[in-house]
Amino acid sequence: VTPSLFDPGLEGVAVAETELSRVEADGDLLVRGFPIAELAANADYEETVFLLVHGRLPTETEHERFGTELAAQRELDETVREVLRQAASTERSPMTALRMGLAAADLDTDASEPLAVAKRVVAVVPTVVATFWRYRTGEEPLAPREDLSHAANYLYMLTGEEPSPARCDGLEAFLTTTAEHGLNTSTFAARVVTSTESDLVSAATAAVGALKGPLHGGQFTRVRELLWAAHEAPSAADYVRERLADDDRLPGFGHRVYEVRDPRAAVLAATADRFYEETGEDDFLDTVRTVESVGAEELADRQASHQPQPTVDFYAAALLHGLDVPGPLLPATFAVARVGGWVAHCLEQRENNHLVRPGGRYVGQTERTWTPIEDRREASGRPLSEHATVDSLEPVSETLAVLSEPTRLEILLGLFDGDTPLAYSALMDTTSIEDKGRFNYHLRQLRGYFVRDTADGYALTDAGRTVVHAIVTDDGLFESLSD
Amino acid sequence: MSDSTLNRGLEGVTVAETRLSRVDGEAGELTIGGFPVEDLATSATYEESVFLLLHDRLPTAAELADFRADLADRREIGGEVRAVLRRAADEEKAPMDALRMGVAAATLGTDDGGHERDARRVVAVLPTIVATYWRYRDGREPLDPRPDLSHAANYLHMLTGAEPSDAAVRGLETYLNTVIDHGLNASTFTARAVVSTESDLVSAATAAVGSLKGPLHGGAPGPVLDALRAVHESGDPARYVDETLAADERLMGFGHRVYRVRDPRAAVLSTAAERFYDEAGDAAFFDTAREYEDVALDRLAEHTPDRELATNVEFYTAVLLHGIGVPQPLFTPTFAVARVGGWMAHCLEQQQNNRLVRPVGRYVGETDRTWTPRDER
Repeated sequence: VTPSLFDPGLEGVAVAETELSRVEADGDLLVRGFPIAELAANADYEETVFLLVHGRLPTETEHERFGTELAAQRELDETVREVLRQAASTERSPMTALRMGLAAADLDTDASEPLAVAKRVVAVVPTVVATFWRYRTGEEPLAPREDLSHAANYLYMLTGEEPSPARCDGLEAFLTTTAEHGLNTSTFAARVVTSTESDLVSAATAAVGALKGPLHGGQFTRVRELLWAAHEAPSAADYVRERLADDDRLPGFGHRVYEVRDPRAAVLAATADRFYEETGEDDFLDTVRTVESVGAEELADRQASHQPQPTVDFYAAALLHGLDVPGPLLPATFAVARVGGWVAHCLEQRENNHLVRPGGRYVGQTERTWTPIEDRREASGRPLSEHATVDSLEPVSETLAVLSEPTRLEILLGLFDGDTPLAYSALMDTTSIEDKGRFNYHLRQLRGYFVRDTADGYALTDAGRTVVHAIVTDDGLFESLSD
Repeated sequence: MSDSTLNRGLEGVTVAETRLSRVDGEAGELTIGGFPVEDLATSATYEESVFLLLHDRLPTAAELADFRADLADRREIGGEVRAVLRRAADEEKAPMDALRMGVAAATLGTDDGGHERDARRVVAVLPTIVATYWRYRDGREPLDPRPDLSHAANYLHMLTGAEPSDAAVRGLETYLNTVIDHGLNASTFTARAVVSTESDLVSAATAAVGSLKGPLHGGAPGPVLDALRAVHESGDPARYVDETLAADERLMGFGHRVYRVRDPRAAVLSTAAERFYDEAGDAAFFDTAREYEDVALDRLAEHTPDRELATNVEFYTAVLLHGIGVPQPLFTPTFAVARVGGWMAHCLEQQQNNRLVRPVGRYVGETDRTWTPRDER
């Protein structure tokens, strides 16, 4: 086995070359070459998807044709509606319903025409979400309206009313801003699925499943709850301070990738400002601004090391609230936007495909032998004793004698905690031994059979690991002997 | 971020510690839950293998009886899922598409359970989805699952409508155990990536099915059977092999991406197939398979001397599944019926020591574009 890099989060590995977006820690986000602010200020969602998929902006004619094409493919058939109705009546979450609907939708596509499948998937996601939501709120779903834009039709299918231009613009800005964002988990899941030469519906379904997880798509709901509770409280500022008194974190502050303010947050903050000012609904905007400033201030006092800034989720939740997108649909509305990025990544993966197949490090047992069911949990001493004589057991006893010293067990426990080998000094720090000479002596006794010395430091051998298991597992020696 | 190394297939990158299986491609060894695959495959029932993967030990007799009964209780699907499968069959969707549709909706009609309950539900329901779809596709009404039958026996029963022979059940059981897990392959990794966001097991299984659907992953036991049938009819394996090689076409059933030597699973399935055909199968067909294998290996050794092409797992998968009566279009879905045990165990393992999987991309697109108004484009 060739030496491998242990990287469970894949943070240091570029898994693809991509022309779709560049995410930089310095706050820069380029989508197909455009700074995100420029794209959001100018493009509608159809244009953004065209750009992602084709790598250039559409001409006026192409833009119109693309919009018409998407609008003509929004329908869902009765079988899927029934699945969504059932999902609504059993109170499944909107993301669960989206997964069911998208996976089960007979999209009537031909997998050998991936671009056509891509368009159909983008077109149908809002219908799935809105259909589910109408059932969930006890109303009949509405048929999509071909005369409306992608964004306007989504709002129409949710509310039953043709949305105002301000609301359309607001949603448009949200959709373009969040359509694409590098190799995040859902996008990567879609690419892995595509890497087996599977189809785009399967890939998009996988991506929905990934986006469903709270570590990926889950902040929106919590931010919205925060904003709503702050808005309802007598003083939004006091509410934020009280919350922070209990918990050092606030939903919607700080992002994994950006060290400075997420550029998408700035775009959506400006969009929200504009929207609330235009519509005169600035009560809620006041709350948002208070939570933003008090939250950032209070958090900065607590965490001197870095400046926690509101994330894109924060302003997205603030904006979508104003657009009348129901709170429970925030993650699903994120999917409505991101599906454009997913399908573009799938098409890109197909262009230059490579099966994704990483490795695992086996840390399980080896060479177990089969115990017939009737013999299990019995000591099974007899069969073993047959091939073990006193003479042959002597070296085993000698090896185990090495463990008759608590300090050495301490060293084994210290090594058990780390995922990766420990350097000498780090290992010594985990134990109570202060004398280097004594520490060296004990470590030497353990080396070979229980501890191995690798290029990166010390690690447990399989036998060492087994010993620690015998000590610390639920019914291990530590539990049963310590009192 | 810009100094990360590009590795599109993630070869050589270890993304997880796992106790579920170890694939040693150089030595041709596969360890599943601590057991050499040879031991596990022939000794365990499928329920026992799943228990082993979930709990890292073999169940006692009482535990196994409980586990088996619990799985049997979770096999049912609701009317709306049946409707989806009926439509998939009517419109001749591929079996793997139907499976994805069915699995994605598989939480309907059940309670949202804890993680292990979700795992059991997914494992239990896959055979029902595949068999229900197949019955519709065959123009017959689907059958209800039979809780008195084992996992493997019930699957065969639901496909065929008859109670399967012991030999067929044992053959299927051996197959299911043999391919239940195989390291961090693309579908398993997809499932783990989905769960890394703290998403649920049904979403992970749906994603994994979508990934297994791809021809680069799900393999090609179907075409092997086509080849075997052609050879069986003509009675002249040598000619078939020579013609295929002369036409520069791939000889189905030989060679594997990871194994440099013979895939250990091929040996297990070869023995299982031999045993099945001896007891209950079409012995002449099995003789053809053996003869074809011998001739093919001889010719391949001459044809590609620099690379050892051994019989792969797909070869004997085709022989064995065909023998026990699994229809050819269901070979890949039956692979999923087996592998789902591994997927679910990997998901639970990921949850225990989770880390969000979030790699990076290397941007090679344009920079500093500026916006052109529509009417100027």
